[in-house]
Amino acid sequence: MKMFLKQTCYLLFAVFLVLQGTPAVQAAGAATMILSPQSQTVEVGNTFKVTIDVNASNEEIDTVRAYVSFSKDLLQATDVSLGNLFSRVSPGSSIDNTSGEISMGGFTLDGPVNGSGVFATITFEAIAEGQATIAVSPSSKMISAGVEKINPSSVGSSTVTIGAITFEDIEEGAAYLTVESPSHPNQSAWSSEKNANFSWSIDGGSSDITSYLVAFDDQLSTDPAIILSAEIDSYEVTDIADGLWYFHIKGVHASGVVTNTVHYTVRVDATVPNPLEPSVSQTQLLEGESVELYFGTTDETSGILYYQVAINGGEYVPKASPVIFEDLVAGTYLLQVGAVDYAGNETYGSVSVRVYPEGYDLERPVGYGEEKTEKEGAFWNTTTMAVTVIVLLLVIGGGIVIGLRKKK
Amino acid sequence: MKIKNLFILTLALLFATLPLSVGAISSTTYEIDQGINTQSVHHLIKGSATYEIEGSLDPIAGNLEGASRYEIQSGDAFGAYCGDNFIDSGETCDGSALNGQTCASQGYDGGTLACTSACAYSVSGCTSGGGGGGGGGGGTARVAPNPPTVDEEVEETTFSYGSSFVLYGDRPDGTTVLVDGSSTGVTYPTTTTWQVTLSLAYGSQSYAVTTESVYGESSETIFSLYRRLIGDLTEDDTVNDYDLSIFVHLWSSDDTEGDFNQDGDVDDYDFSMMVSRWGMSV
Repeated sequence: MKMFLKQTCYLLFAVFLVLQGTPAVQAAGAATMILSPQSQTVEVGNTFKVTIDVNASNEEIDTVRAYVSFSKDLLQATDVSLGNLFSRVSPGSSIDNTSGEISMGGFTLDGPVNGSGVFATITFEAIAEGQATIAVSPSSKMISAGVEKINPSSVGSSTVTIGAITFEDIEEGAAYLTVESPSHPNQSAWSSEKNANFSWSIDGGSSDITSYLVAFDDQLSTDPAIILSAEIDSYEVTDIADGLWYFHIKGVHASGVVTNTVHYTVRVDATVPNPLEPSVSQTQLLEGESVELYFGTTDETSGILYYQVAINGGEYVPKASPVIFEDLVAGTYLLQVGAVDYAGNETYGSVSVRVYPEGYDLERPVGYGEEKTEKEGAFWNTTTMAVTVIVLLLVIGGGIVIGLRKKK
Repeated sequence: MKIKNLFILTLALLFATLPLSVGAISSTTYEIDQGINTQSVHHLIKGSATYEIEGSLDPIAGNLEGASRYEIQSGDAFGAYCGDNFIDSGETCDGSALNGQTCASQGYDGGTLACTSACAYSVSGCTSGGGGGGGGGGGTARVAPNPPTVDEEVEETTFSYGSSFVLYGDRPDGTTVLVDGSSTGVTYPTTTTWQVTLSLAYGSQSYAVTTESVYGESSETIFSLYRRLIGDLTEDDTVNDYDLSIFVHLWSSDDTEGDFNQDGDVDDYDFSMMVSRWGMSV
């Protein structure tokens, strides 16, 4: 009997564990997600990139979510951008340098992806010496028409060895070159300006500069090769596409000695956020009732910085969704919402709400205002069922105990 | 039999049944109600009424240092006007509010009824086609009436994103219709039709629709549908990547599953409504 009781207990605990641990969607598939390169060495102060590479392994992947963690004391993520496979950013994408976590989601509207390539590129800055780890979480997602296809055991990691800062060797007799950009003065800020201009100056040097070598591309540390004469002290690039760009320049002395190379960052986002469709919990209400305003959208390049709300053409005020309006007097309200991205681009939407005086018959549908819901019904049903099962099992258990005692 | 064993058994039973009650949530909020009101409100809406709204605000990363409370704005409420999406006196429609009318109700076979900037119907998007059909019969014995029928189009509806739903269909002449045992809100557009507007809670709903003859005999039919949170295409009561994965397959179609704003296109405006509810659960 003792053995029977023990076995029963184990069985019931097993049932508990199974019921508790069953995920809503089972993760099973062949798609993989790794980081590249798997290891690299940088110095404190360096900026470097890590790509999140995906391989659909012939699965028809339409939506991807990468959860990436990194050593927050050694690294700081400065940018995450999608690659070519998935062109649209999913909601919920974020960088958190405090916790050392990145959530990057993307999806495609151009047909599913069944091959391999770069899902996203993360730009990091090394902030302290040490051995840093960047890892993809097994809870990342690669989804095909609502079904999980990632192989959780396939996710990879990357190690970064961060050495002490060493200043670039300035060749003896070389001048020190510095660059400014009147059009994009802040290298860490996004701008909607598509034309960039740069000017530079030199300090020191034992001989005259005879030429400058420049380049403008999306690579972090290109060695510039376009030759400019020494008389030129500015450079302009027009119609820059959205994204993260770099202006590279170095000077060459008559003696053949070269200056330091400057890599100046330019962040361009000239595209407005995706359309905004605000909605409300109810379009008609009575005075004294509240109404909730929901809004949200995405921005592919720089991301949404904030939302702002105005009523009836009034001033816009920054606000997060949802906004609850209370104490509206009778009248018609045009609720206007704007989404502003990090480059200052804006998109707007609106929705109307009508507030009626208290006591007015709104002819609301049958059942309006009733508290009961299917969820609550489910709650009571499941609770009642649980209690019934417990009582039943206790009665059975009690019966066994009494039976055993009588037998003794 | 030791008391200790009995205690362990009880504890095990408790743990085993605990998951059955986990995850139960109630919801009393209402989502978008596209309902309209045809009553005159000119005498009720005061164009000069004022409002003042305050709220609290969590600082948004990077732009609002220390903002915690502010006065959003104050000003005048608008009165009723053509273009506010509410049908008021002198208007037959307003914007997307069409007073329940369709091309069919305007005598056309199909197409899309619209509203002009002068708040009158525009039938330029309606189409005409072929003819119609005819009528029914009767009986004398005191037997239970035929059950009410739910309109074919409604019958095919398995979900709704709205907080209200118009249920309608046919009924035997001379019968009354009860919904879940109540005649409240049931109207009879003709002698053989019925309709009722229902308020929906989130999740699965079932309604018993009954016809009742003057002698008290009755017949019943059941209508069920699921009210989804906007964006919840998987019907798991939350909006996440799995819903987005299904949504992208509806892109550029007119599929009602992804057409949250019911404008006939699954596009960025619907995506925006999904983003608004990202991560929400009901």
